[in-house]
Amino acid sequence: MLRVKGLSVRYGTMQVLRRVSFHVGADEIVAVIGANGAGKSTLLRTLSGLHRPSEGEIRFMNTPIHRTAPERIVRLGLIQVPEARQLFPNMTVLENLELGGFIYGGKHVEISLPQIYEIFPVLSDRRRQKAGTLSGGEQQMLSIGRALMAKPRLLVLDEPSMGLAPLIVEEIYQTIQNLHRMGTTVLLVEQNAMGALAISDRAYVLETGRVVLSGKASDLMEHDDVQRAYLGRDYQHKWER
Amino acid sequence: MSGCAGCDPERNPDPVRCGLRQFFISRISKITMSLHVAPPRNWKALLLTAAILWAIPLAVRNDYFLLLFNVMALNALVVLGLNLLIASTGQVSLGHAAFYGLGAYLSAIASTTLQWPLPLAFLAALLCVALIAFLLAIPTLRLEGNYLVMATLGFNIIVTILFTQMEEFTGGPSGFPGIPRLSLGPLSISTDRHFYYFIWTLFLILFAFTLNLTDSRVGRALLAIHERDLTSETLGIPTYRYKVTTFVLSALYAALAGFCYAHYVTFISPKTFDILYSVQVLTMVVVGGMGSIWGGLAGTVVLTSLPELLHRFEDLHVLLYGLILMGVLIFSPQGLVPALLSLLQRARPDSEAAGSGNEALLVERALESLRSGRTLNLRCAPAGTGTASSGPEGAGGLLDIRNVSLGFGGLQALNEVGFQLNSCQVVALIGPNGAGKTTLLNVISGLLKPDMGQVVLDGRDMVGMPPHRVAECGVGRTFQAVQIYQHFSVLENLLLGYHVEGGAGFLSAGLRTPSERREERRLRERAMDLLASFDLSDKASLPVMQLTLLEQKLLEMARSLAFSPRVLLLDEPVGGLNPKESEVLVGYITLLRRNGMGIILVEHDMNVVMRIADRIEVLQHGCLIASGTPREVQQNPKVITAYLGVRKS
Amino acid sequence: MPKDSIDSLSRDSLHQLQIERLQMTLNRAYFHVDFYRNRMDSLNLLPEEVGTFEDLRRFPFTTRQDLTDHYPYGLFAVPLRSIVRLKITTPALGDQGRPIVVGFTRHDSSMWHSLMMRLYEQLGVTDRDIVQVAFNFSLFPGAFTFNHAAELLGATLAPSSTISATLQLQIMQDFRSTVLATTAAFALHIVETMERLGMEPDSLHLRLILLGPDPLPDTTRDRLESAFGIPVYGLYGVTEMGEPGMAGECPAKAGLHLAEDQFLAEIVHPLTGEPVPSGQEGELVLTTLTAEAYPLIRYRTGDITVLREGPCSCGRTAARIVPILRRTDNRVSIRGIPLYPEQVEELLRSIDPLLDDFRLVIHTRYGVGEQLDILVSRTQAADLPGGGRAQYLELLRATIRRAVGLGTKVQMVEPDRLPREGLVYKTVFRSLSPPCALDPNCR
Repeated sequence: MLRVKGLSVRYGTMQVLRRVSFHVGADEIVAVIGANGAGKSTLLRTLSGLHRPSEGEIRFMNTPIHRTAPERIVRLGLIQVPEARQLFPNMTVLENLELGGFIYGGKHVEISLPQIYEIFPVLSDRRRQKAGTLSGGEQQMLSIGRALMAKPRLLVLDEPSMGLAPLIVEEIYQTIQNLHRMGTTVLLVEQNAMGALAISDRAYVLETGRVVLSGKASDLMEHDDVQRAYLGRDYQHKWER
Repeated sequence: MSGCAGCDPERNPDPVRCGLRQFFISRISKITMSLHVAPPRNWKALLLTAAILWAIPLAVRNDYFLLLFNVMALNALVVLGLNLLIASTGQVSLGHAAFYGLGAYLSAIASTTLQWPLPLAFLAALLCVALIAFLLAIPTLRLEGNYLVMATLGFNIIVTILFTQMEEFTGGPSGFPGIPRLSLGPLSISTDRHFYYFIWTLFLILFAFTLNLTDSRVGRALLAIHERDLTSETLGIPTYRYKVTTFVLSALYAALAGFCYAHYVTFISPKTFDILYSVQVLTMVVVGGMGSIWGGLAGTVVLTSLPELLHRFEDLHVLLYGLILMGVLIFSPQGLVPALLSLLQRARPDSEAAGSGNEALLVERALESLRSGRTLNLRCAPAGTGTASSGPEGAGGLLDIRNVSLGFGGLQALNEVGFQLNSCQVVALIGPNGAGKTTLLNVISGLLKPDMGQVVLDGRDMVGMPPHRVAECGVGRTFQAVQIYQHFSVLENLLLGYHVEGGAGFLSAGLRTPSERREERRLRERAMDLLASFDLSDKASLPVMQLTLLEQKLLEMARSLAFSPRVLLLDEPVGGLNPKESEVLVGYITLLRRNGMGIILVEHDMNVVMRIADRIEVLQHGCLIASGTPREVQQNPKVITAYLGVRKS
Repeated sequence: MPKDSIDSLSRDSLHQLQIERLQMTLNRAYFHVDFYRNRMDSLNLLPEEVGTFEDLRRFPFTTRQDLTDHYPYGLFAVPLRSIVRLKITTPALGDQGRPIVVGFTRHDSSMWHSLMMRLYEQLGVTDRDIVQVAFNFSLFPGAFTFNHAAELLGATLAPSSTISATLQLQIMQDFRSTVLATTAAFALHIVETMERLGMEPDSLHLRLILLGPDPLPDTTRDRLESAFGIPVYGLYGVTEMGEPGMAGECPAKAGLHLAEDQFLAEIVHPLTGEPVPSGQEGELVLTTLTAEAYPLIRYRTGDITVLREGPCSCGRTAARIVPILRRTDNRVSIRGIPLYPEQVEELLRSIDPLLDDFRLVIHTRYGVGEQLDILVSRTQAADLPGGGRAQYLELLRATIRRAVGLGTKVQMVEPDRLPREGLVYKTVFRSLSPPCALDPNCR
């Protein structure tokens, strides 16, 4: 469904991504994990069309999107749940959700809202509350709900566990798994490696702008190199014990 | 230097034309160079301007035109001051008409009503305006955002109202007549022609003064404040003080112009000094080129003469004026003079353009020289101070961070963080996103004030000191996004680092006293030395945009070393560099450590950290969760969990 | 019909997978393998400069010499503690030589096992089969993979070891083995044994034979298929990687399907190194895509073949290589053991520096090298090392046996009696098999 090939992105003279390639197939949960500064946020910004790559291509549903305007990409069905939620704090939960389905018109919003409330009952309870007053976990759910309103073919989550307590993170991950079971394809970008690997099918590990490891998530959980990608090489000579 | 195919008479068919073109191009390029980066004092252009100005009255018979030029000169004075303000603080004043008016009215009142002698009236007016400007600047310049515009706008309106209402003093709306002419003893300026020579000479003197000022250490600092406020603070530039001084100075220019005006036309009324005039002068600044001193002059000339030129179009002249203005602003929004500048720069052959050549080759050479053990001649902490690498804790290190806590709203950014740094030591600060690493660096360099805790350097607690004082104490800093000044050349950027080493103030800078020139020369020498240590000597006069990322980072590092700090804070130094370039930078850091520097390093590239850190401190959610050697930290389960999460079995 | 989704991957998806893995491999090679790091640095090449398969051509080839030169750790990408298996794929000959030792991490190991399993499945081997693996495990380092893969498949493994053909046949009968995996030479030997014992092929329950690691000549296949009456398949592996299973035949016998998700194949001209037009023969150059411990980038295998990318009648989309046509170097194979005449020369001359000339005479049967004789000639009358002529010849024979693992016959002849060498350096081939017309089993 999503194919990224040889993507290089730079900010001015700074090279942030160096020939990154990965793909997400239909009905998969794929994780991209890496430490800070690995280039994850830049990757997502480029995916949504907010930034143009200097090399490489991105194909979504076989359409090249690396030179497309962001709103077109959203219409194609690539919806992002941004880092740190980025809700409209002074609007109610309902208004935030409505905005999510904005591009498809009022009819669609009417039909979709009950579905969202089913997935996230807590949002239904708080529908008239201002988004800024919700707890961190609830905000994250609202953010995901808002994204779901836009009929995503591919749901991209940018560090959903950021700033949330471990128990809430568990809940969020459960929700993501449920969504996946209901047929949504998910691309999960995380710093929290283990958590992301636990719910993904496959994963890619990013280190300073490069893919250094990829494979089945279950394999990667045991892999030494995941830790090395975060904490550096733990040996100096190959013969060390 | 010329665009000509060499003025070889044999090859060139028209040597006369070629020669003339060369002449003009060299003249104009001299002018443009004076506006661009680091020119030597450009007296040739000034002389030319002076010559033109002196020649005009000889050519012009009709005194009416001289009146026009006199008005132009007065405007030019106000514009000069306003431009200085905008160039340095970047803030715009919509109230300079008020200072113009205050200069005029105060002097008029003093000399006419109070019958004071003219020099006394002059001094009184200037002192009053200085005081008023000072009182206005102090609160408003502390605020963020463009509050100065609002404040000056309001100020102007108030002043105009005061002029109109306080009839006993100012004569009210009908004006203030009977102001004595300018005279000093027997000499009196009574005709337009006399006034012309007087005002333009005065203007040229102040113009030269201002050019000198912008070209000096202080002037550099002013431009730096405009471009990057906070960074300038960390270099030791007292930004607030300079901003206030510049504001007062610009008000004084306007007041001076007001004084001259009042004693020239001998009759003033409040209408002349309303906001419309403020807007007019601002427009002259914008059209000519904001922040460009020559541009201010050009803008004044253009916009003062334009209404006259358009008069013949009668009813249409306002429309045409507007259209011309819009045209200029749309097609060259940076102003006329900078637009001309860039046009000429493009026409010039790339004589100075750095052939970046083979970048990889340069990196190779840098690596070679680092490996072969080069030394940096820095006056950093004398080798031997403090203990080497793994000094005993509690022995009173170079920098002692004790129990620092800082909260933002409900979020605790730093929670009782404390550790020590010794000289000849690299301590790396690592942690997942949002852990508070940059916040801690900001606290140490004085950009943020902690709620609790101390940052002790050499027994002195720096908490509460403004950033420029912290810098003076000996703390240098680089930033995540390279904070070099785009409007300066490589050398000038470095010279900004040497700001605290100089002492010449506004006055000596404007007058270019011998001691100021000596100091400037000395600073340049030291800057060139420092550049040589980092292999950047041959790029000294290049605009910084032509440097590679690695060179920019090295420049920033060099700049932070200018005032011989003993502690260096590096925020993600190798971000964005490829592996070979990283190696070069790491080489320099190692060199600095050997020279006795104590370095705190925030970095994401773990392999770099593991290689050069003597000790690692790990932050998570504002708390220090681990501390130790690289190997220890790598194997610490708390650290692993902090980064990777909990392994689910 | 292909079971694994890998087998039916579209070419597009396959290329995507390959690009991802190639870039990952280049990154890891650059940062973890000293040999590749130095090489890339000297060319000022960074991994990100390779964006397409065409860009990869800027990368120089890796040769067998590189592998021996950088023994022991030069080509390793992980520390020893992450290695679960080390294999000596090419032993050092003589005391001065350097071996090639390849490492595998747990992931690599399971990857090779799954590749072998894929080959089994491709041929229709299921968990109901009984696989008999008959290799000389000490000489063929990749032999164990046949075992492990069969176990993973769930196929029962008949007891096997380096035992006589007679015993192999007995076990084959008693335990009703359905699949035989062995070398071509040994399979021929079993046929002979069968004929000698008067055993009928019908008394066996074999349904297919899998031969490796050497390429399978058509004459051998014909002989064995007619002798056993069942299909015989070949597979392909690179000797230096120490593992079979890189490519294998499908029932269509239209070439060997490459594991393209794990290896990137290029066909280049053996002399110029330039890529050859599609469909033409050339040297196979391989790049590992997922090998963790010992990644190889553009490794010159020395095998000449043709790459066929079109669809195969079996339905699998993986490209095929035709059975290996010949080698670019002088390597020969006797009973599955690789041998370089140059190395033999080095050995001989290390014993006897005054040796004039020599010939390797390889007796082949049905295209498979079976017996090696060495003919040496010496004009100097000076002392023979070892003493007398008999001792001298014995010394040579023992040295060769110790170094290579092959029993040979060494004879001394006059220089003009040495047979003229053929295409292979100092080697001649003599066929032992009877001409087709005289062989009752030949069709």
